[in-house]
Amino acid sequence: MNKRITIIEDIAAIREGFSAVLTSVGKYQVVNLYDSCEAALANLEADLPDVVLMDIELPGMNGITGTAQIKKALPDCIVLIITVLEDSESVFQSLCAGAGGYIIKNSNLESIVQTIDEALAGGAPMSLSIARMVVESFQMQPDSPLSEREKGVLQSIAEGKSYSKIADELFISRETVRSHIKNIYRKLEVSSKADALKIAASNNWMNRIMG
Amino acid sequence: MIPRRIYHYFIPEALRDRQLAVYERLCTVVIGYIVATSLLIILPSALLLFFPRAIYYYTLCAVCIFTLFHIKFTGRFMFPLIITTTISYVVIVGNALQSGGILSIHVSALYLLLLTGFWTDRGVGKVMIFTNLLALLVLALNSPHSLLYESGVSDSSHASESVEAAFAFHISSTVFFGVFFWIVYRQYDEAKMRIRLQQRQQIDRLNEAVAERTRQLSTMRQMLARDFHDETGNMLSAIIRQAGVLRLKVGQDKGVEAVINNIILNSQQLGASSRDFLWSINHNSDDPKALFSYLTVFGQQFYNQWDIAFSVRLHSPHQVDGKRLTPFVARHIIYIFKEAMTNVAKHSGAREVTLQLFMATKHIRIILEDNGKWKTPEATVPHSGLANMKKRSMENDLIFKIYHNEYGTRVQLDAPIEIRH
Repeated sequence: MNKRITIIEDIAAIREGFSAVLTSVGKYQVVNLYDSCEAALANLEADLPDVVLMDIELPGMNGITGTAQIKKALPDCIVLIITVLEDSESVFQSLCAGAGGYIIKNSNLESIVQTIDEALAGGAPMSLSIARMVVESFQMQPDSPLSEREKGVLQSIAEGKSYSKIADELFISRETVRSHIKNIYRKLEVSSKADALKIAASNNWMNRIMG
Repeated sequence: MIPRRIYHYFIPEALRDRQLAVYERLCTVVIGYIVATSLLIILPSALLLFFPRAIYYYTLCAVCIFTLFHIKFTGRFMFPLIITTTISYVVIVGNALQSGGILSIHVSALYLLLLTGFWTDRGVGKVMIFTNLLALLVLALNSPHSLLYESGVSDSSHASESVEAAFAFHISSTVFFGVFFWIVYRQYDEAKMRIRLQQRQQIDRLNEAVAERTRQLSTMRQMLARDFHDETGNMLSAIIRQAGVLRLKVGQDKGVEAVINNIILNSQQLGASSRDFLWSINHNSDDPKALFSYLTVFGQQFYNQWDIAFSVRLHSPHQVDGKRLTPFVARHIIYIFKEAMTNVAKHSGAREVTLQLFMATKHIRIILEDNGKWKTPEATVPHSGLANMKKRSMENDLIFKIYHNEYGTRVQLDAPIEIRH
């Protein structure tokens, strides 16, 4: 059964371009295209996507909040950010919000398909800049939720090593490296939520909302 | 008047900095001692014809030379200044006592001493007004035929009056010159302070203007990057995606497909080179570490597409601090290494690639090594990547070298660096 994909992107040419090339591959079913998160969220239950391709800068709700909302409604759905620059702060925030990776908008078809397939198979990409932001984010916490192996993978990416180099050094496969990255993203999302709750509690917002 | 290298010779190297408060005082003292030493070598020679005791002034000359070297090795001058002043009093008062006491012509040297005291240090000058008065009292008390200690009995009323008159005259003159020097130098110091304050205010204003301009440039750079991200980047993505749709629609027409592929490739290259350009106009792009980091990001992302083990090594990272590349050269270095990294993946069949940065005193060396096979560029291709890399290197004072053997290939580039703040 073909994997169900929805695309949220406000520029029609990019939205339709992604849709056309992904449909041409034959193994995906592009169920719907949206120019805003609000419209996509309204149809989320009907669309039931396996993968959402999400732009960050959108009219109304931005891609970061949109990612968090989709993951809340469909925890198993994979949100992949589509971006011009992969090392921006907003990509990192989207990953904290639950995104499973990102696709560069200029990428060629093979690269897009590869990223989607790897995300579906339990892997995810991570750049040096994002790795450094993740390292910093975990360093701020007293007890790191990462395993020793995950710490090793993260550190190696932050040092500029390619997946093959990390795989060689740790005697694991490239796929295992990607799967470690996916776990790191998952823990980043969990710890980001915990941080947000801590900040909210310390500011007494929770009580105000609850009261 | 005195060449700077001469008085700088006697100032310790660490203190030869205009920004330091002590620098100007040291210059004044050292110049004063150089002038005094020169005069003390010449003038006593003439005086020796009339007055043999002038030879004692050579003692002062020796003390001045000692002081100059003391300043050179310690950077301090107050202690030798006090020694010089004390010895000067001993020589002048001693010579005066041997030639008529308060009536001696050597008393005039006390005024010169007072002047040099004020010139060297205002505090020392003020103290010397009182020391001069004390010296005059000692001379008066020890002058021959003085009524002050001969209890009014004298065979020469003219001489007694002269001693008293000379004492009164010198006391008045010392007070006059002392107060005069004090006021004049105070005004001079205040005027100097005012000028320095104005200069500092002007420098502060200039610094503020430069900072403001830098902020504006930084904002402009950020706006350019944001515009690129929001507008140009998205537009290029739209072109690439639409060209992709077009390629699907034209089907089997190879001629049209080739054109579309070219549109996609050129758009991707335009996106990449715009990004390199935007990065290179960033103010950090002349920092070798920032440049190396940018190349690392590219290499990692690029080789992740293949099964190629890529890693980097930064040698002596601390030596890089404060050293900068020639402005605008970073963009060319990025081009050269992107080309080299692409060539490795496309042509060498390498399994392992390493990028390294080495530091030397006047240049950095970036090395890209792989364990693949060397492929000689085709002579029929006029604008090969290798020829472009060499041309860019020559045009930008970069030394580009390629070594290859059966174990792999090394691309090596040396770029000049300089210390800039």
